[in-house]
Amino acid sequence: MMTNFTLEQKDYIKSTIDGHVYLEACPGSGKTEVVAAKVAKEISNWKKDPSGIGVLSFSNSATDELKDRIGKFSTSNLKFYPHFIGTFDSFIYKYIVSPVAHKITKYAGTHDDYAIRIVESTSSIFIQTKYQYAGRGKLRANHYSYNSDSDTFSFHTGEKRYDQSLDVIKFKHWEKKDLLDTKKRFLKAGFSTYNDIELLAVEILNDVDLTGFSKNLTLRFPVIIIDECQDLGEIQLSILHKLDKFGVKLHFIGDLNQSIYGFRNCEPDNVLEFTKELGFEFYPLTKNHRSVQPIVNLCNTLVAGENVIGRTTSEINHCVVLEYLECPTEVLPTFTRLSKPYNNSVIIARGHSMLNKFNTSATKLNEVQKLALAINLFDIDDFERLEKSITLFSQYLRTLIKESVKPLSFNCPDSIDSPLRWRNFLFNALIFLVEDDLNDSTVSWKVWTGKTKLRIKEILKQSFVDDDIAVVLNSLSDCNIRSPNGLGQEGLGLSLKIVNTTTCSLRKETIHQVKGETHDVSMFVSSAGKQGGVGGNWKEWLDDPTTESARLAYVASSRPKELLIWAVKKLKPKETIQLQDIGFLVMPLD
Amino acid sequence: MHLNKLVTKGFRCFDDAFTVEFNAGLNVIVGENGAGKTAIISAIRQLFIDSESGRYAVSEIDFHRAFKKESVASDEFTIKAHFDELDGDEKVAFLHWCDEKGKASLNLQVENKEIRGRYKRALWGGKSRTTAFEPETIDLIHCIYLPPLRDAESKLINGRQSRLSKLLKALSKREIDKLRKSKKQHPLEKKIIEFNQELADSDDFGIKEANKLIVDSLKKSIGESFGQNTLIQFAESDYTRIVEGLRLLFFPDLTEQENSTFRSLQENSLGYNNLLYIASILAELTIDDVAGEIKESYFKLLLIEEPEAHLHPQLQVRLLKYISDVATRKSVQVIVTTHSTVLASSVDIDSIIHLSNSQPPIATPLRNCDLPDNSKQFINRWLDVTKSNLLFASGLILVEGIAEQMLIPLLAKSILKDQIKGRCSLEDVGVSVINLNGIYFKHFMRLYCNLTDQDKEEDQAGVNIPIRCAGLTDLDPAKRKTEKDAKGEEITTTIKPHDGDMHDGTNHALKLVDTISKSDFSRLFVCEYKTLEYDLAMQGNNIPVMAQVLYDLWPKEGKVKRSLKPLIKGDWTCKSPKEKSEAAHLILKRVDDDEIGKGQFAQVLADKIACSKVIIDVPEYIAEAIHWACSTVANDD
Repeated sequence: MMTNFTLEQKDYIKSTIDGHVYLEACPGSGKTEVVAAKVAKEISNWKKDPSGIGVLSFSNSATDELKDRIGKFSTSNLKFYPHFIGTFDSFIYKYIVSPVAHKITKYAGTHDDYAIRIVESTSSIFIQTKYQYAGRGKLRANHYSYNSDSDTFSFHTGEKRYDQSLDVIKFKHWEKKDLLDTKKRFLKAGFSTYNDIELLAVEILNDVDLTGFSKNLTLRFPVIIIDECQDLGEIQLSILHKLDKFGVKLHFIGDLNQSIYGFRNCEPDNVLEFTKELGFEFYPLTKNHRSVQPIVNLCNTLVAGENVIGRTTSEINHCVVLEYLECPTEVLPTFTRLSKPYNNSVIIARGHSMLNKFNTSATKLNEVQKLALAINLFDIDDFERLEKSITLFSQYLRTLIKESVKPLSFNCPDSIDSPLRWRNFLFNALIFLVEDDLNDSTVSWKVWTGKTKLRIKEILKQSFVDDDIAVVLNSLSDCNIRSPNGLGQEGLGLSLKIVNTTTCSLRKETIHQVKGETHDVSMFVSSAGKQGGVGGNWKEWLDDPTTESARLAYVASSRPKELLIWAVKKLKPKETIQLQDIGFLVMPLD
Repeated sequence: MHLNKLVTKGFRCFDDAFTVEFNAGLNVIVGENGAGKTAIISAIRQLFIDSESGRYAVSEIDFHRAFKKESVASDEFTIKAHFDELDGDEKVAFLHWCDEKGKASLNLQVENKEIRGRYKRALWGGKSRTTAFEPETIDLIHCIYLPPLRDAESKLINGRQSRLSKLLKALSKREIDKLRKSKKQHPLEKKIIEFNQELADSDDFGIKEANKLIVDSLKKSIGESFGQNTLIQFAESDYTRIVEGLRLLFFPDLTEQENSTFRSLQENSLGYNNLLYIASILAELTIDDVAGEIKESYFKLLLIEEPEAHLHPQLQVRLLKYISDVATRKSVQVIVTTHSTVLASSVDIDSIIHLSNSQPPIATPLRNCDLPDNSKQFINRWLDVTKSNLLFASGLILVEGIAEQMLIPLLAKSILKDQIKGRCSLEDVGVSVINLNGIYFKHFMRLYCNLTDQDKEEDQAGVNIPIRCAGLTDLDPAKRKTEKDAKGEEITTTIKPHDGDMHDGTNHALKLVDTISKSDFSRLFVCEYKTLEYDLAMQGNNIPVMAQVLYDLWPKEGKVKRSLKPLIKGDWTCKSPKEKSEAAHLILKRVDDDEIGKGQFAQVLADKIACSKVIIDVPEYIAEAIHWACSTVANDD
């Protein structure tokens, strides 16, 4: 099975699992395939049941992909047990925190079940601080977390400015006590945020009384392999630090240049330092099997990386810049022409707001607009629009639900046992709304809200609404629907600028969504100016190769095999030269 | 590692949380029919996949439903198994069944919502539902279940699920795996292939010819193009299929015999086939793990319902002794249910778990009764086939001797005659009279109550079997008393107790009365005057009846018979207590005489009562004991 691998790849596959190893893999290096081969090899030679290897990645799709590929390497029917292949989060939650967290949190369980209920920062939880902070009132327990290792608080209110104003507060002794007490009450009541889960894991591994548990855990998983190690956050690293103390051997696989989770405290330098401190053995993969050499060169420029060998190429241009005047959608015709010869073309942007321009130009939607757009996009025959419609509708309903929801299952309320039933309900409710012609975007907001108000109250009376859903949504019967401020007389379509998306049924993803993917053509869309989120504008991408903006550009630009397009706002002559210098051809629009 | 506690709720006959604790080795669950013995076994089987009877699917009857009008089935049932004494290896293997204290548990919740014949099951380890659950860990527990109505013969004869093939496969598993990896043949497979080749090639057996005939006639009937080829040979040449074709034969004793004299199992007795079946399972359980190899199972659990089926008493005892031996030697946990007093009396009482047929059912492991060692040893030695009845009764009257044992059931008939139909005798209500052959209440009643405040003894603090238990004991006052008369001379007189001249008892059980009275389930009742016969005589107009029995039984004419004659006549109810006590004393003296004896007297009296020839008035303490044991109240009318 080793025949098709390069020497570099073979070296890693043969590496020891009795020591810490870091596989440094450039984009397109066939990393996942190598990891799969490595895991398949170790599993088939494994003789340490009931101990097993933990293979951790950072998304379910990455996990599925890995399982799939491992399956292809093994001859007979492959059993993963006693090994665990899953996400880092689920490993922490299900293997470390869930079994014993009540020892730390003092949660007494309900009906003899000590399962923790995870709440998001968006849930309206009733546990809040005694005092008010940052002039914004009492702070909710699910809006911050406390790291006992570093004795610091971090805030996740869901509102950047609020977070920032809390970040700068120097808490007085009694204020700190207030925050800690509130957190304790929150945990004791059996709740936890995602951040708390990781912090609890650190506490569990630190707890002297739980040494027996930790010891057995590390005997159960003496080897842990982590894919995309550049995505490891500070707390996750300290969890791994503790596991190392208990004798766990770690394999890191990743590319620090692709570290784009700064908002989750993932600093590539931290990971590098960690591997150096623990004496990881380095194995590099330096050949890019995906992209042609010009794209590889350009990507290296972005992060000032070392030389990577790409695929050899014929003469046509592989790196193109398209300019738009006002709206990025202007480049669509040219993009369509350029990508015609290829199968797999994707539009990439920093954030959803940019991508939304390819659906609608209303940048920030309020709840009523979300509802209107949900009804408007609803189309049984177009999967993309249908999913978007149901998502928006579920986001609208979430504001009316008084319990925590599962954001990955269309905001399904926790008390609804089946996400499928919830999805069915959303679908049927949308059909019910569309039946009343509420998808007519020619009317004014005033007319539309008047009509919608009546119709939406009827939903709960319909036969497709199960009893438990009716209970959760009981506030739907007296909810108010108002026109967006000052838009009452304006037509619905005008303010939503609903574009006919069927002409543009391309994949549109954020940078974070395309991580690890391979495209034929990728168009990376720059925002017009530097306003908005960090890393959205091409000038930031080129500013400093050590910043996250550069790494974001690196991840997006290293996706395509054949053609990389940057869509940017009309360039000044000097800027044109800057882009030409790094290997782009600036092309006029059709 | 062993299963040490099972908690079920909403399952079968268990409405509220029902808890039963188990020992590491052998556990024998005893109790009346319908108490829930099978439900306990079923609950365990819901958790594990047993290799003998296969997965036991949930059905609607598994959801508790009270025996009431308009009762509805429970919404869900939960089963929680706790495990104890995990060693290091097991703690790693079952890590996610463990809580922060290293105690392992496995939880099952089944909702009463049927979707295409399946019920929604949730299985998780430890305290929190969200803990990672690896379904493979269930397979690390090897559970074997033997149902009460075993078809031993069909399990033993050849076939895919036969015991024999399972045993052979288990024995040679490692070898087979190795050969499979290296793509080599097992020697047995080689032998069979060679043999088949020989059969096909040789002209000597007629097989070659038969095969040719079949192929030819097939060709003729359907033509060359549709023709098939055939081959006549012995079974398959794959190891698994070969051993599945093997048959177990038997010979009735262990003398060395020619193979040809062994017979097929159809000719064997039901009992012996059952033994062979169980033996083959125990053989598989005792195959040791090889050091250094991956363990197939960490913990073996054998569930047997009514191992006594089809076996005569001696074999029952031998079998259980062997199972118990395997349980301790090979660390197999065995849980047995039984109705056999033979089995119950042959095991250590620490192994016995009593299950009461009450609402709710209550399981009482006798080892939790906090019996002092001497009581345990006494019961282990003294609990025989008849006394072990006490484990299967719904109420008990413990008595000292044979006279009570014979008379009480008959006296009970008159006490219970006014009760509702179907509850008019001890048999009707399932109450047993157990003869302890002496004053041994101190040992036996400890199962039903805690004895405290006893000299030189620690207070007992155990659980009690929740069964009504009444003890009947004699007062046994001193036989004589010595007093100084007016002249100061010592005069010894015989004590004949009666109202106005009562005497304290000397029976050492009397000091238990108070502590027993504090218990929920037990009472010790003491006769008023002296002993059973004496007190019977003192009661109502019993003297003529008893005197007549003695008169008829006395073998010789003469003084004794003459002295009894006056007692037979007249109405004794209006005689003075003193007169009655004289007569009672005389009667007791004759009953105790070697010429008759208590046993014979009681038997003849009992026969007479049974034939309704005589009526006996029942002394108060006996009536009370009967009412206590039967949970009835005296009817004043």
